[in-house]
Amino acid sequence: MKVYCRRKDLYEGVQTVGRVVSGRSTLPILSHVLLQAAEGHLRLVATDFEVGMDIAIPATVDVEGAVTVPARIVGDILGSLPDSEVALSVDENNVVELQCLRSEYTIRGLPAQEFPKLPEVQGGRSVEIEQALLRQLINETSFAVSTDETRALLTGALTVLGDGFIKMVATDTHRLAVSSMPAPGLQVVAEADEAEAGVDSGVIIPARALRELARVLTAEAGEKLQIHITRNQVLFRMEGMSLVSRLIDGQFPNFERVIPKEYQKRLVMNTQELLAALRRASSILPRDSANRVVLRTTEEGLLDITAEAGEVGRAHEQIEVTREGEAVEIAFNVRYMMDMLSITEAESVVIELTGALNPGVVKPVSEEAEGRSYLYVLMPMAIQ
Amino acid sequence: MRLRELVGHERPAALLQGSLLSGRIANAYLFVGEEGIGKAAAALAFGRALVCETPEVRPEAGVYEACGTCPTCVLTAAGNHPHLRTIAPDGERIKIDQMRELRHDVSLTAFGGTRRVYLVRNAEAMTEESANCILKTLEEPPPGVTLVLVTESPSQLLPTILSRCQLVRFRPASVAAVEAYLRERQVVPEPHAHFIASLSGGRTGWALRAARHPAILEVRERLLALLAHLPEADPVFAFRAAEELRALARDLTADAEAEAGAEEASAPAPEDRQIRAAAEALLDMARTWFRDLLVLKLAKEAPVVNGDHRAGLETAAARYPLARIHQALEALSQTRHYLARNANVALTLEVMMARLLISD
Repeated sequence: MKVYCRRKDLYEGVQTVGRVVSGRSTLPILSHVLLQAAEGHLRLVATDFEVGMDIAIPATVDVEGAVTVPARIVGDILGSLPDSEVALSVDENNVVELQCLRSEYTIRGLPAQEFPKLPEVQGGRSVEIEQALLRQLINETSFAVSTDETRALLTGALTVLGDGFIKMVATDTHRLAVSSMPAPGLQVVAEADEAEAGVDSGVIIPARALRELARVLTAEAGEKLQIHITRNQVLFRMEGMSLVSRLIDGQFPNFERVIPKEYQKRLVMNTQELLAALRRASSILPRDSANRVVLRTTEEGLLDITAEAGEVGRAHEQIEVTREGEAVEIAFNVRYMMDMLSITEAESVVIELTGALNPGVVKPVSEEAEGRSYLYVLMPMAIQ
Repeated sequence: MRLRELVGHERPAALLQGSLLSGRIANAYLFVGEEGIGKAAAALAFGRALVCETPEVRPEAGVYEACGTCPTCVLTAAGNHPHLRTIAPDGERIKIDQMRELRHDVSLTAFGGTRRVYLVRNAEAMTEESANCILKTLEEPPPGVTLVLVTESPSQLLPTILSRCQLVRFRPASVAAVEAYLRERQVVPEPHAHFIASLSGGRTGWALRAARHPAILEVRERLLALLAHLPEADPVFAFRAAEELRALARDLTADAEAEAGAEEASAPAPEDRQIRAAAEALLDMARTWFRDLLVLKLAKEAPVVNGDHRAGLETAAARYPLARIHQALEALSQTRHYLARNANVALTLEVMMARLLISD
C-alpha cells in the first residue's frame, strides 16, 4: 500500500472512527483502525464488535492495499503534525511508514485480513431522512434510555420505520419518551426471509450506537442520510460515512399501554420559565436525593414549585400557568423533568394530568406537521 | 487443531462432533481436565466448528469440523471473530466487568451469521460476583449462543454454575498412548518418544510440541535453569536473562522453521511474529514453573507439572514469598498481553525479568 492524503482529512477521519475503537478490549485488533486504499480514496474502518464505523477520505492511491494501525497512537501523531500532505506506506511485516514534511514515523500494524469485516446489511426496511430530524429524534428520546444492564431491553431505543414516519421510543420505567418524525418513502425489501420477520414493529438500537451517531450528524438542513434496519443490524449511511450497529435482541415492552389515553387537568406554561424555576429549585436538592419537586396550582393562576431537602433548606418558585380542570398537586423527579424541557424547542409546554398518583404527560405546544409528535410520560412521586 | 486431532480425547471429541452433527448444542458446556491437557484447544476447535461458514460435515464418519479456510475461520484462527469470543483472567481473576461485557454482548443480535460462542478460560478464576453475573445467561442464552467454560478445578466453581453446564471431561492420556501416538506420527526419533511421553504427564499437546521441536526440550532445560537462578540473582541479571530469553525464542523459531508446513497450510508468518509466538510459548512454560511454586507453597506433597525439577522447585519455593509468586504470575500475563500488541520484544522482556527477581 502506498497512498497520499491531506493530514487534516486523515486526522479527522481517524478521530471520528476512533470514537468507536474500544479502549478496554483485550483484543489488540479492536484498538486498531483498518486502512484500505483503493480507487482514489482511503477507507478507515473501526469497530468494537458492537458498533462499526466506516469513513472514506480523498486520497491519491499509488499502490492499493490494506493494513491496520493503532488508532490512539496514529491519532496522536496526526494531531500534532503540521497541515500538509501525508504519505503512508506498508511493508510486508505490516509496519506502516507515515511521512509528513520532515517527520517520519514507523508504526507496527496488524494484518488487514485479521480485521473483522463489518456486517453487510441487506433486505429489511429503509428510509431516507434529513440528518437534522434524526438528530432531534435521538435527542428527544435517548436521555430516557435505561442504564441498568440487567434489563438489557431497555438499554436501547425502540426504532420503528413506518409508512410515512420514523418513531423512537425510550424508557427506564420511570419515564417514557416517544418521538415521531415524518419520513416519506419507506422501502421494504419484502424478503420471504424469516430473518426479517418482526422488523415492521421496530428494532431496539443500543444507546451507544445512537450516541456515536448523534455526534456525527449535522444540524444543518438539507443533509440527508439513509436508515436501514434488518432483524440483526441497523445501518446509517451518509455521504462518505456509514455506521452499523448490532441491535438489542428481544421484544420491547408494550409502551402504548403506559401512555394515558385521556386527562382531567391540563397545565400550559412557558418552557423556559418552567425550566429556569426547576433548575434553581433543584440546586438545593443533593445529587443522591430522590430529586422530588412538588407542583401546586394556586387560586391566582400561578404554579407553586417547591423542593425541600432537610439538611439544606427549601426552595419556593412561582410561575404563570394556564389551567384547565381542577386544582393540581403532584410531585415529579425534577431531573427527569429538566431532561425533557432542556431539549424542547417549543415556546410552551403542556402537562396533562389525572390524579396525583397517575402518570403525567408532557408535550411541546406547537403546530405539528403530519407524522410529527413528541410526548413524555412521567411517573409521579409520593408527595409526603 | 481440529477436534479429531485431540489425542487421548477421542471420547469427548466424538461427543462434541455428535452434538454438532445432530444440531443439539447445549446452552453451556464445562470442559474439565488437568492443566496443559488440551481442553482449551478442544474448546477452541469446538467453537471454530460451531461458527464456521462451510464446515466439513461427514455424518457417516461422525465428522464435523471447521473448514479452516473460510473468512470466518481466518478470523477465528487470529482470535478476532466477533462470534467466537474468549474471556480469560484479567490478571489473576476474571472480573465482574468482563462478565458484564459478556452479558451485554450476549444481549445484542448477531454481528452476522447465526451461532455465537463464548469461551471462558480458567473459569475457576471467576469471582463470586462474576459467576453470579452470568447465571441467567448460562441458563437461558438467546438462540444460537453457546458458552464453554474451561477449568482445571471444577470444585472451585459455584454449584449454581456447575448445575447449568453440560460436563465434558478430558483425562490425561496414558504415557503409552502418548508414546504410541508419537511413534505413529513418526515425528520423533525412536529413543526420544518414550522420554518425551513420560515427561508429558499424559499431556498430549505438550508432548507433540516437544516432539516436533526437539529443541523445545533443550530450551525448556535452559529456561528452567534460568528461572531456578532467579532467587539469588542480582538486578543486573535481568538484562542478561532477557537476552537469554530472546535467544531461546530465536532457537525455538529456527527449529520450527526447519520443519515448516507440517501443521497448517497457512503462509509462513513474518519473522517478527514468529519470535513473538515463541516468546509467548516461553512465557507459558515459565508460567508452569511459577504455578508449581505456588502449589508447593500451599501443599508440599502436591504433584507438580515440572516434576523432573522437583528439587529445584522446592529450593525456589522456599526462597520466594507468596506475594512475589503472585506478582510474577501477574508479570507473565501482562507481558503476554504486551507482546500480543506488537510491543518491542527486547524491552518488554527486560521489564518482565526485572519484575521476576526477588531483590528489587
